[in-house]
Amino acid sequence: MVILAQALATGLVFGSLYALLSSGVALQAGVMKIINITHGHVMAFAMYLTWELHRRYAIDPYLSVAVTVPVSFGLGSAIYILFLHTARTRDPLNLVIITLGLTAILESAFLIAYSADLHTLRVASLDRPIVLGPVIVSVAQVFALGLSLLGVAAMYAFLHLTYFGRAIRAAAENEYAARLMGVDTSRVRAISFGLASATAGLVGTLLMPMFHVTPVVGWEFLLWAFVAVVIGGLGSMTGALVGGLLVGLAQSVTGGFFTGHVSAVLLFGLMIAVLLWHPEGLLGERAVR
Amino acid sequence: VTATVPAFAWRWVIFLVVAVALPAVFSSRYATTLLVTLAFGVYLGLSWNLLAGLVGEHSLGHGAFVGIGAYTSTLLLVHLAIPPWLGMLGGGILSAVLAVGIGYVTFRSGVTGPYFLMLTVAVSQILLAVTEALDVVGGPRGLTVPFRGDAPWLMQFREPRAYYYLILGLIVVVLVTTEALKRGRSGFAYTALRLDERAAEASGIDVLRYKLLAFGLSGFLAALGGTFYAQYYQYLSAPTLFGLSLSILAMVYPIVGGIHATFGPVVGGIVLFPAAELLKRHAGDIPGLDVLLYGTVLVSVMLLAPGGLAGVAGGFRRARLAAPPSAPAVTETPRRHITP
Repeated sequence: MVILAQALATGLVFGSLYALLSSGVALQAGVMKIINITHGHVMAFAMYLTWELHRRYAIDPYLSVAVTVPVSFGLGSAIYILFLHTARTRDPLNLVIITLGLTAILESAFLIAYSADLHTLRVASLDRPIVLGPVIVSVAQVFALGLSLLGVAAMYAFLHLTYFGRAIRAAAENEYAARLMGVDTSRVRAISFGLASATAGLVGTLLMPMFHVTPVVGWEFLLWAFVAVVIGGLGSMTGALVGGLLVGLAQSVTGGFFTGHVSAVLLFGLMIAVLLWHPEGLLGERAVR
Repeated sequence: VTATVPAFAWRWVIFLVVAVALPAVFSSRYATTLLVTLAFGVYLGLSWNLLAGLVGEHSLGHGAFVGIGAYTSTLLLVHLAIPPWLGMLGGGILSAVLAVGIGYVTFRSGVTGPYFLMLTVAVSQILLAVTEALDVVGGPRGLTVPFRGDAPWLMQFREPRAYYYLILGLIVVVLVTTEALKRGRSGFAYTALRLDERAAEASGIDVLRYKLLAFGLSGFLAALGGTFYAQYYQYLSAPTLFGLSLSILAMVYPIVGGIHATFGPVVGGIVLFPAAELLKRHAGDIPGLDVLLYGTVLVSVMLLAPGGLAGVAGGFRRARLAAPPSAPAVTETPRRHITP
């Protein structure tokens, strides 16, 4: 029982981080109909940046959000403007290959700059345990949970309450019609890629004080975010939230009792099943044709 | 060049002469192992390209089939003493069944493009997790293939040169398979289903059957490569075989060389592999440099010449041939996913 409660708590923390990362995947899949493979490595970039800022200037990980989030935004927009914009009318697979190539470039850059070693950032005040009944969590985990849920909420609010958010949703639904209505869809895509990468940046910074970074850490997180997006329903922010939480909880609960392999088989299997038999996702409505 | 000899025949002659003569030029043991590595990469690319070049779907889980081939023939060898020459057929059939199974459910439910790509990643990740969890197949320690010295019936040789000619034989098998599928009725079927799937279906082409044929063969041949891998390296580890890097390697040569040319993956390998080796040699063996090169080339090719290097060559040739009365060159337009 105690194990279960502890697993649920850890699962909730990682689940909320997956949810935030997935909201970026969903946004990019919405406006471009592609999976941006670089997404996980943008997160890793933010992790290295957080680590570097802390080591050189002793900047608190949460203050470095002010740097990592805008820098990630710029990185995402730059990826769109420099590499994807000219190729936007081609087969989506071409674009995915471009993001795969960029991922390889980023990964080798990490490897050359930081070697394959594990880098961790530990701050005593953030490692302090908080006892909540049967559950013990660290301060960093509480921050990660709160701020990532706040991030998802902010993304949702931006897309639904602001004029530009509505333009993004319009462009995602029907690019051509949105253009006819006067939406600058190129600008929408550039900013959507920026926003999505900003979520990856925030996830990276929140993750750094409680996890570790390696050049390949982005792959695993990208895969889980993709699984979450497919399970929750592509292109929907609520879907990303529910999918992300589900992935995090399933991982830690099965991990608490079995090995990590069980959760991999379970979640990837669930994802394949959803993709094949209910492609709108568990929450999505049946597509009306 | 006489008019009676078709152009493709010259490519074959040049390829075979150069490929057979290469070990005589690079004869040291070390150079030969490099040739084997190059040839294995080319073989992977060619088997991957059966699906990509003919059907247009990109798999990022090709390692799954290589892994199944490697593990199946090795387990059959270690536990039942079945020689790899037979075991490779077992792995091949298993892989083909998996490929046809994945293809049947995905192609029917309309999972294509980026989603097909990510789904194949998921399949190989499941196999990775299962292999690591099961001690029967070596678990996280991996599997070692017992080496018996020169034992041709066990597909084991002391000389890397023997392995080179073995993988070259396999390369010829995929090349012939690719050419055979591109010719005649099936060739028209693949061109038609790539250009417009619904129109092909309406013209009476059994689209699903042709897609499954290409995917099944791709899986089968990849598994044969897996057995080769097992016998050559004599050590199997789940992350190397089922992990992402092998699957990425399988798609780099074909994409750089050009997926619509039969010899595209060969061209990609011949250009990229020596470049990466030279870079590593002259830049002081910094780990990650080859990946940096592959990534840069991948992005540049996709942006500047999406048809790959073979596509560039084809463009030159078309431009030269189509002098005054320029016939409209038949180029493939990408499948439209959104029709406004």
